[in-house]
Amino acid sequence: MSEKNPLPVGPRTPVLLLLVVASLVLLPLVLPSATLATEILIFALAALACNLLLGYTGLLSFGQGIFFGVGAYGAALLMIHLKWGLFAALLGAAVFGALLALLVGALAIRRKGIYFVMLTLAFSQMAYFLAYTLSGWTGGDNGLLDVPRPNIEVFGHVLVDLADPRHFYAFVALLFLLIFAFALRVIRSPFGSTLLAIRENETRAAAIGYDTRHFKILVFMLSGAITGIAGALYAMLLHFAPLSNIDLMMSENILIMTIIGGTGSLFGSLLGAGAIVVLGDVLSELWPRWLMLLGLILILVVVFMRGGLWGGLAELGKRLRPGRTLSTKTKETL
Amino acid sequence: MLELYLFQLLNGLGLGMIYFLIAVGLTIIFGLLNFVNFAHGAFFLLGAYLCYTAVALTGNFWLALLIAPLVVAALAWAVERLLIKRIYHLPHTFQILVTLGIALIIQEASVLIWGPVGKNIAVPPELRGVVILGDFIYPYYRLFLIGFAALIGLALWLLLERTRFGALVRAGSESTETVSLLGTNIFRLFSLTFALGVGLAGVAGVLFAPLRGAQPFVGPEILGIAFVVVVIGGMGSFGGALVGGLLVGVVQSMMTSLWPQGASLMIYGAMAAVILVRPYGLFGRA
Amino acid sequence: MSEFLLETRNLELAYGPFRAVGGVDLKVRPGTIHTVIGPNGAGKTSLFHCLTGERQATAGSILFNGRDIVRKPSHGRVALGMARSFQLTSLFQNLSVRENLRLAAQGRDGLGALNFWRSVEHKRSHWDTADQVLERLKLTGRADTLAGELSHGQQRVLEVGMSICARPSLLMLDEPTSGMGIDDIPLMTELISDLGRDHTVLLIEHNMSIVMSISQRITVMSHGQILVEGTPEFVRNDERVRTAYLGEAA
Repeated sequence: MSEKNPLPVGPRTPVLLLLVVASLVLLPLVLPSATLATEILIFALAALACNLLLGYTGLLSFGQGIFFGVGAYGAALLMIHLKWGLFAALLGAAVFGALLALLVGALAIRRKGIYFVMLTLAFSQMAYFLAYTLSGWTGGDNGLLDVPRPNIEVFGHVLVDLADPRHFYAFVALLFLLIFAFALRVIRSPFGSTLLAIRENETRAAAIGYDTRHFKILVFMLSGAITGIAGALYAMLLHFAPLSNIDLMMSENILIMTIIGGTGSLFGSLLGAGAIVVLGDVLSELWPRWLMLLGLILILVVVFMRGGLWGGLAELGKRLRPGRTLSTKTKETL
Repeated sequence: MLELYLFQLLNGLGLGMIYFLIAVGLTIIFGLLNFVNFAHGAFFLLGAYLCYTAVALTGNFWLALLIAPLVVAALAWAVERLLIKRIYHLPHTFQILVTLGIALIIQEASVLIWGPVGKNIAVPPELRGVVILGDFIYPYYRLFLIGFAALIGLALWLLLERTRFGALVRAGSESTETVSLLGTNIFRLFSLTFALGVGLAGVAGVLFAPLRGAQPFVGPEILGIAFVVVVIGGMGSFGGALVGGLLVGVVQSMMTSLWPQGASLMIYGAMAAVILVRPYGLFGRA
Repeated sequence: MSEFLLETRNLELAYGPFRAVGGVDLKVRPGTIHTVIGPNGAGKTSLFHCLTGERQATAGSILFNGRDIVRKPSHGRVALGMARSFQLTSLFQNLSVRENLRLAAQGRDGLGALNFWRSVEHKRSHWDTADQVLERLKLTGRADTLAGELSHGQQRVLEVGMSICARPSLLMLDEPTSGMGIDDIPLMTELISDLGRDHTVLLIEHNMSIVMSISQRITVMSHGQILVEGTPEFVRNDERVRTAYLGEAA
């Protein structure tokens, strides 16, 4: 997503990480349940991974649901059939997500623009119908039931009991912080800076020596791994892996969160996921048709407020402190 | 056994003609406006629901068949003037996201108006009953469907090939400047084309209603299939939409009793394969 | 080491029956500014596309440092020491001028730039290159400006400047003065002859005064083939060139 849309300028790394930590501490305090807070973080992970593709590389992927679903099914099956522990299952989900992303990415990036989008869409639908068909593994329409949520154990001793929703939140929050820091490093690495170059002008990027295919495939794999972890955590949260994890609507939801939060801003993904999960939770009780509002917000953001919630907040901050204009150094660009 | 296959083949052709109407609208909009309309499935849905309301109010399916598509087209025209025309110049990515938003709004508004449970629409009395040819039995309505859609397709073809409007649309898909030079208001042409394309989805929605009723969440599924058809036939190709639509309809119909998910797997697999091997489709220009 | 840095042998680019480049033998000596001129449609740009890898030549070979690179994709030619600029300004509009140059310097790392676990700060040499080039382009004062916010003339300068960041031995410049105002052209002329001191330059150019003043060698193309090649003096006085090109221009 670029096109006359200057990159949002972000604060320095320590400030940003502090902001994340503060949000992680605040979330369970202001929200009615730790489960809701956990759900926000899980979708924030998925949105953040989507942002790597959309915001930083300019790739609109309708395939994020594939990686989410595969992470959920993969981790669940590893835990159920092979009795894998928490970390092994999460690692497994990341590997599944990355491998699927390698497959989807390597094929999809052979085309550009609308044909790229159509390929991700086709793969997404294929994955859905495949999951539907392989009901022996996935439970088909009923979903995969009785997904465990293993405790953190060392040599058979339970270190942390994750059955308690607050403990599980703390665990997910820690994982989120780690992955956020990792993603931050990624986008400020030589690799990440090249992604921006590809987003801005792929022809030029190729002309100055980058084989852009490899960069796109790698960012797909990173995105797939993170989305896979998110899917696994979601299955653990619900003790259940529904078929809806892998359907097109999931891909759309992840995309919408990313865009409303702010494309090209990692913290924006947290905002986007937070806003939509909370809105969904609160409004779906009062007004089941709240998705209508979501559609409207999506249109408004794309047409009028490209920076999303994050961009809006940054703009607000700039107005409140007219003395201090934000630096435009690229080094500090998020 | 042979009758069953023939029955399913005919069903497939009927379904295929509906897919053709949806896809040809999508493809015209893409061809002239270079615009990707992710709200196309939602407008189809609206067509089906408006048919329900019109039948409920007037008791006349034929009136519904006339009015519902016109209302859908009028709404599309309004949406185009208000919103769509502002985003033609944006990359496809943005068009997709905005029209995704429109689709969500239409879908939820439909549920708001017509409720979350689908509505059934009766086959018009004139078309109830079946054709009996020896051992072979086939509903009238489905035959009518094939014939009527073919008629619309023919009219559309004549409109595009034989009229000034069609010439302008075709010229516009080559170069918008040419059309502007001809002294035509290109923006009005765009609005009309958008309304026409979406109106075709409305027609398809009405025709579909007596078969499966109006279902609130059918939009995304229809949109997906429309894209399969358009991609397989070639984006912007009229003939491609026809052949692609029939192909997808027949495959789906033949496999319903065997393995319906397999049909979906196949058609989306075919879509991916076509994009990878022949991105301009089986009938599109390179 | 071959006598020529760049040499094409019977290079051809055909679109169906039409041969945009019809068997060209171009020889560029190291250390020269070598310009290709010709009337519109002579095949200069098509030749350029073959050299940069943007188009795949349909026949013939391209030797760079004696090595055939005709099948190499454009990104693969950078690591060998070839760099190019675009006729239509092609920058990273929403990135700063400095970042544009740093990315161009980093491009020579090829797949080394896939490194996603280290900060960009880590590789000082790319920042240093960017700063040196900024200095040379006289853009140091605008280092933190977004490339898209530069004046048109400055964007053209940056366009050319990006091509030297990967320290290439051959610079291929596609009409660097294209679209430049008359006031900015001397600046560009100066820059190109300055770059010519460190690099071999292959130039495609329309502006005759630039061509005649800075080129050591000129190749005149017409109808996809080489018409004449020689020093500016020689080309200026050649009868065929006058009829094919200069006559047409006048």
